[in-house]
Amino acid sequence: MNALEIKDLKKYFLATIKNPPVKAVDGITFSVKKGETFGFLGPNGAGKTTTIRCIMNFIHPTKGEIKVFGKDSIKDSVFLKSKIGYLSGNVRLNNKWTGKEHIEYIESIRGKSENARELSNKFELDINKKFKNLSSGNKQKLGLVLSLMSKPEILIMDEPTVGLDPLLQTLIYEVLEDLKKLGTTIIISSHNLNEVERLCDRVGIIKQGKMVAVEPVSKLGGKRLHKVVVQFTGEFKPSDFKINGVEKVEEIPRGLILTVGGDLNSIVKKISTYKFNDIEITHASLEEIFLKYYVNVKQKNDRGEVK
Amino acid sequence: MWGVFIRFIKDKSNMILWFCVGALGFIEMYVALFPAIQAQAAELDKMMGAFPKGFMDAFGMDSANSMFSKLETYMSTEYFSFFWPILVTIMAISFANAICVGEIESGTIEFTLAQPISRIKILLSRFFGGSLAITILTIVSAYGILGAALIHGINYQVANYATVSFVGIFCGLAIFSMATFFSVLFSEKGRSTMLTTSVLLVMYALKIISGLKESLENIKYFSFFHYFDAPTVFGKNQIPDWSILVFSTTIIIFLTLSIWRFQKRDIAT
Repeated sequence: MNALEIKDLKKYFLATIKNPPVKAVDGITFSVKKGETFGFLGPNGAGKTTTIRCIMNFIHPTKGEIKVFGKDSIKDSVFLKSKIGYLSGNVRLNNKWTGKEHIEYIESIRGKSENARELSNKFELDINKKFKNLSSGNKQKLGLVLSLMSKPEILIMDEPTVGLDPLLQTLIYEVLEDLKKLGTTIIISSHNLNEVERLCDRVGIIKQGKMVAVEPVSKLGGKRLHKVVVQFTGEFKPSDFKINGVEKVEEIPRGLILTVGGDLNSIVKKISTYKFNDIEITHASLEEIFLKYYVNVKQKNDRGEVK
Repeated sequence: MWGVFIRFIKDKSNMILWFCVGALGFIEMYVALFPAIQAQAAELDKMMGAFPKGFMDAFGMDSANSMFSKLETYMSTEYFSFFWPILVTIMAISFANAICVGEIESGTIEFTLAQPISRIKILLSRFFGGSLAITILTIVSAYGILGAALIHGINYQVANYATVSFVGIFCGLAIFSMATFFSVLFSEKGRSTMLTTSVLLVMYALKIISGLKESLENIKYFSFFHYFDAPTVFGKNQIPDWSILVFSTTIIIFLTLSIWRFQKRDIAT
C-alpha cells in the first residue's frame, strides 16, 4: 500500500487587495510507498509547503485528492494525524511554555509518550527552558522531539534543516536515517540537493506549482550540473570545449565558464591539455538544475513523449 | 479536548486573576464610598433630577428611582453600567483572539492543528475556556459587591446578585461569541479586535441615542446594552424582556458561524 497518494492536486489562492491570484500548486500527482523516503525538491515558492499544508489539512485543496494510508486527508484528518509526525522549518511554538509543557500538551492529546524524555536526552535538549529562551538550533531540536515523540508511521518535514549549523544538520540526518531503518515513511521538502541525495530514495521536483519529474534519487546524480571556471595562461579555443556533457560555454576575460552535466572526467581531461593558472569546480545552482529538468520535460512534452 | 481546555485556562490564569483583582479593587473603592454617598442621597438625587430623563437612561442611571439610597442601584450605575462592560469586552476580545487569530499571527497554530484533534474540538475547548473565564469575572464582580457590603456593614438584597450574575454571564458570552467569530474570520489580530470593538461601540451609541431622541427609541433593540440594562437587572432585580433569548440566540448564531468558518478556512502561518 502507498503511504501517500496525491492525484491532480490543485491549490489556487484568490486575488486579494495586496496580492494577485496565485496557482500555488497546479495539478500535481505522485505517490510515496510505505517505508520510502521521498524528497520534495524545489526552489522557494515552487509549491512544496503548500502541498505539505494540504496533506496536513491546514489548507484545503482547490481540486484533487490526497490519501494517506488509503484514507482521505480531509475526512479522516484526525485519525491520520495520529499516524503523522510533522515538523516545519523555523519551528514556531509557544514562547511562554517550556519544552516540558509542550511535551505534556501533546501527551494530553495523543497519550503518554514512551520516548519523549529519551529523545530529549539524545538531542541534549533542556526541556525545562522556555521556548523563547532556546537557541534556534534547540528550538528545532524541540520541534523534532515533538514530531517524533508519538512514534509516527509517517514523518512530514518541511525544510527541517533550514538555517541550522552543519552539526545539527548532521544530527537530523542521523535521526532520519535511523527512522528509515525502522521503516518509517519520510517525506522531506528541501531546496538542498545534497540533503535530498543523502536521505531520499526518490525525489519529486516541483517548479511553479507543477511536478517536473519524479525519479529515483540515483538518477539525480546523472543530471547533476557543475560549473567549471578556468583561467588560461595561454591561447585557447572555446569551441574545443563543446564536447559531450558540456551544456554551455561562456567566455570571460582569459577564461571560460563551462556548465557540465553528469560526468566531469572528459572535461577535466580536455582542460588538462591546456595551460591554466586557476580552476574552480562548483555545483550549479538548484535553479539551473530545475531549468534543466524543466527544459527536458518541455522538450518531451513538445515531442508528445510525456502524457 | 480536555487537554486543550486546561492548557487554555492555564495560559490565561494570570489574566483572569488580575482582571478579578482589578474588579474587586474598583468594587471596594466604590462600596467604601457608598455610606457617605447614601447619607447625602436626597441632595444627590435632587441634583441628578435636573438632568433630562433620556440622558439619565442613556448612561445607565435610573431616573425613576433614587440612585443613591440602595447599594444595588448605586453599583448598577457606577460598576455594571460602565466598568464591568469594559472589563468583559477586553477579556472577551483577548480570549477570542487567543482561540485562532492570535495563534495565526504568532505562527503557533500549526502545532495544534498537526495533532489528532478536530478543529471543532479545538475551537470548542477554547471557547468553553473563555466562557469559564467570563463567568468567573461576572460572578466575582457580583458577589464581590456583596462581600464588600458585608465588610462595610451595608444593607443588600441578595436576590439581585444572582440575577445580575445570570444576565451578565449571558451578555458576556454574547460579546465573547461575536469576538470569537471575528477571531476565526481574520488572520490579523488588529482587524478582529477593531471589528469587535467597533460593533460594541456602535451598540453603545445606539443605546445612548435611543434614550436621547424619542423617534429613534426602537434602535435600542439592536444594542446588547439594552438587554443588559444594569439599573433594571441589578437595581430592580428584573430580567429585561427578551434579554436571555437575544443573548442565547446571539451566542448560538456566532458560535455556529465560528465553527463553520474555522472548519472551512485555510490556516497558513
